[in-house]
Amino acid sequence: MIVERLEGALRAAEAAGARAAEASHDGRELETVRFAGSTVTGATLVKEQHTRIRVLVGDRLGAATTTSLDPAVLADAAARAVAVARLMPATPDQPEFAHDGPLPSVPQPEPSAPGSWPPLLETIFGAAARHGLTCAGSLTNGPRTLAVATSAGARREARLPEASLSVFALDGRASGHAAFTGRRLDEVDVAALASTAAETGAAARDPVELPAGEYDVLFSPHAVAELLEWMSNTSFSARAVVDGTSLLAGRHGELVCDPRITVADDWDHPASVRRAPFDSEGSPKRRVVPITAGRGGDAVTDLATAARLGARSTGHAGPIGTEYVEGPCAAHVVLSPGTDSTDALLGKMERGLYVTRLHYVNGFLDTRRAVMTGMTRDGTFLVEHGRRGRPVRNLRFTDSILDALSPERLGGIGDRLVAVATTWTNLGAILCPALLLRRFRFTGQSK
Amino acid sequence: MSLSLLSDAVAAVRRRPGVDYADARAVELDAEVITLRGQGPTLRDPRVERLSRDRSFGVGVRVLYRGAWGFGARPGISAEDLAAAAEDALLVAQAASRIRRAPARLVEEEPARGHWETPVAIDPFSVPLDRKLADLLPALALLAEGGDPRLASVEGRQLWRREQKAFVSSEGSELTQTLVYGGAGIKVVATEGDEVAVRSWPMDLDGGVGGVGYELVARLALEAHAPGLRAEALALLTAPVCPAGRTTLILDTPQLALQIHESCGHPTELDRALGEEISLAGGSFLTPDKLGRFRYGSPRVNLVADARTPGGVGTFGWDDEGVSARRTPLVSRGMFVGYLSSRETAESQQLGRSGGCMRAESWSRPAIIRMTNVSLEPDPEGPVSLEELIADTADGVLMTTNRSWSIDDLRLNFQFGCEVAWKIEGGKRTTMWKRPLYTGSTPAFWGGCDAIGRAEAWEMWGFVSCGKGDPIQLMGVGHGCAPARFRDVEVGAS
Repeated sequence: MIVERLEGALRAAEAAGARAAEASHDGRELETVRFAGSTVTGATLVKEQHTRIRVLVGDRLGAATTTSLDPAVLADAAARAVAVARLMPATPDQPEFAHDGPLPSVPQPEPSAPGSWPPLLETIFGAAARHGLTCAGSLTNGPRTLAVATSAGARREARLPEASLSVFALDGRASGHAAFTGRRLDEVDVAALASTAAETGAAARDPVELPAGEYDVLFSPHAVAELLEWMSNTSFSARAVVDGTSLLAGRHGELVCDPRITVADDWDHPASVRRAPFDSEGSPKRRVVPITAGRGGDAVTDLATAARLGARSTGHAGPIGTEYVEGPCAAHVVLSPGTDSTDALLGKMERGLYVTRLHYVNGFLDTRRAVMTGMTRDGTFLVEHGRRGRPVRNLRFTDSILDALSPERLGGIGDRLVAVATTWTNLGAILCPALLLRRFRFTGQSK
Repeated sequence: MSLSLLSDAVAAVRRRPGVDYADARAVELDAEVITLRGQGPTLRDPRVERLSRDRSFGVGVRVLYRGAWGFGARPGISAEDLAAAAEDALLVAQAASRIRRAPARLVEEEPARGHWETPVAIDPFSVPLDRKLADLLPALALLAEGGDPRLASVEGRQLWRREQKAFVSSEGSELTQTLVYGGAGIKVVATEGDEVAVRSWPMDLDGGVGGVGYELVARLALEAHAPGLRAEALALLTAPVCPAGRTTLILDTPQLALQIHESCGHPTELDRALGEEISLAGGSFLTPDKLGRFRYGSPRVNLVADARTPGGVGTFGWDDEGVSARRTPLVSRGMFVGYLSSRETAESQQLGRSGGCMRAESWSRPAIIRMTNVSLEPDPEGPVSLEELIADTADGVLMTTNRSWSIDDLRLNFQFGCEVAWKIEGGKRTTMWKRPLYTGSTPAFWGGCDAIGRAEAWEMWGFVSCGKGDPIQLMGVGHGCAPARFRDVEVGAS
């Protein structure tokens, strides 16, 4: 058990002079296969791990990380953390580390065995070939182990299988995409996924060009997930709310979008994948609802931001082992589904676009209004009289997502939730349906 | 770090039936990250939000089995770790070989032996933490000075990394390197109602980073820039938005560095041009049929990749395939002439030699093609400074410091938002504009480049968060440039 090694780190920290300590571990045995031109371009099997040790010396916080679970190396990391703490200024409101407490048990299956994927790729390549297309993409597989131990008594450990498959079917500039995010590779209907990508890719040949302008758009769940991830990363953290940069800042209880929109961070949602009941500080995860029936709601916190707000941590401390995620972050964003099937949503469109996926979205343009820009890719189609038709050359959008979700512009919400892996934090997954947005603003083309 | 351990492991796996090639890389990485933040009640008493000393070490083994690649990695640098990594590499390579269509081949490169270190004047890891904090706090105090209630937060950051690498290949390369890079930056955020203004120096996120030592911090002159940043952030709250239209655009070097990165660096990555990065990062409009034939920009534009540029984040002795650091012209007098390449892609496209661009984020990732230092060469007949370039411009817009970035999957259509813009009238900066952005298509944009600063105005910038690969790898890359002017660019506001 990794927790036992972490307990050794706590003892070492105490011996080095810490009055309190926290040891947090995030490890993966990650198999990744990349393919392009319907051939494997690389295959990796990597065991990687990060252990972060934080200590309190008086009211001074220090931290150090290592990639080894060797007791001597952990002890060295603990000593480094104590040395750092001794150099820090005292911070009187420094919160204590997480305490123990009951957590729900989350049964997990074993991951798929490494090296078991060639037949799966053969199926995918074959489906594409039948349409005269080649395939690119990637597959990942393997367990992730999270563990936390604190001198306040918290003991947490979870082993989560993670698997994903992302398939592009290509013919020159025409491309179609389908993806899976889950726990084991045998959970995916490979034939169906391959067919979706191939049929979309085939249908995307010979696109027509549309001028920039406003169009009604049906965004697939994968496209919606990218918009939600940006909204989450720029606005759902308490850090951004206190900063005043979040779309939630100063708007608690205020109507910010259509009342049909509810966005929560819910690790325990029945359809949630890659879920553990605690965060990297050992705090229990709680359901947080940033947008409730269109109204501004709550932000996610970690121990530090919660202490600043005089509240309890919501269990959303960011991942360890990365320098680029600062402060708390949502990991299981769920946009509540509506009641419309995809066909019903299409039926509401006289003339517009269907967007399979987005590329290089950036949500920093104006975070208070969730103004974002990005490109469509991998299957953009004209919709006329309720039917998906000719493919369209990729377009750039620049629009306020908050405004697009207003009652005047929200055309409908799909009835089926799809899990989409996150890209920024590599934690959890986003659950979301399709969205029909009216008069969405496209500002350029890919040419 | 024992080269003989690596040699033994490489030799052992190379002897396995079907193994055509093998290499092993051991990496010890030390990193230090400091983030100071003042926000709300702590605005004028910034707290250390993050201060950690990180250590990572492990080994990665790459094998070519019947023409298919496999890579395995383990934490630890022991014979057992190397053997386990090699077995993992072989396992996945054997699986890949079952469905690999054509064998991977490598262009010939002379095996290398030696050692290389980043030249530094002040070892950043020898600088005490209290000095590092002391070098940030005065600038933050100046950012927060005056107590204006619209000041929402101030932030200062330092990041330093030292990589000690050892590399052995089955062809006889035996190399060690010590690479040091890092830097610092500051940022202020002002808010009023729904307006959010950000000013940073030299840029947000990565700050000012270089392949140099702690001497960089003094050169960045954080305190000297802080008062101006505060004043501009407050002024931006009520400034007019950048008007939309087509005009002449001048880019200062921090923003131009990102422009080069996105619109030249990435599309000249040969694996991208061959469709091998489609799944995540996308492709490139610079397909092999265009090499030597395509006009990328105006004749003033010369872009070069050079892993030997002093002070670059992308500067090293050898890449992670053991290929020596080298210079490759990418765009010469406006014509597309070169790629960032690897041994495999150079062989497949018959380039004759590798561009020496293979690097891995860490021991736990396989090397992939990355930018080194991709720079815009100065124009010996250009203006000596940004101010001289502005004075030479009758009417236009100056933009600086990136705020948002987006480009399509072929690296054609882009849109960049900046923190601040100024109207240029009669050769002078006049009105400050907020939320400026500009958009365009890469060849048309660079085709409109009609002025580039001289060597005196040339500066080296860098990023440590360039993302590519699947799983994603973050890499340090450098970009040198002088301010430049572009005609007939579409500008506006977000």
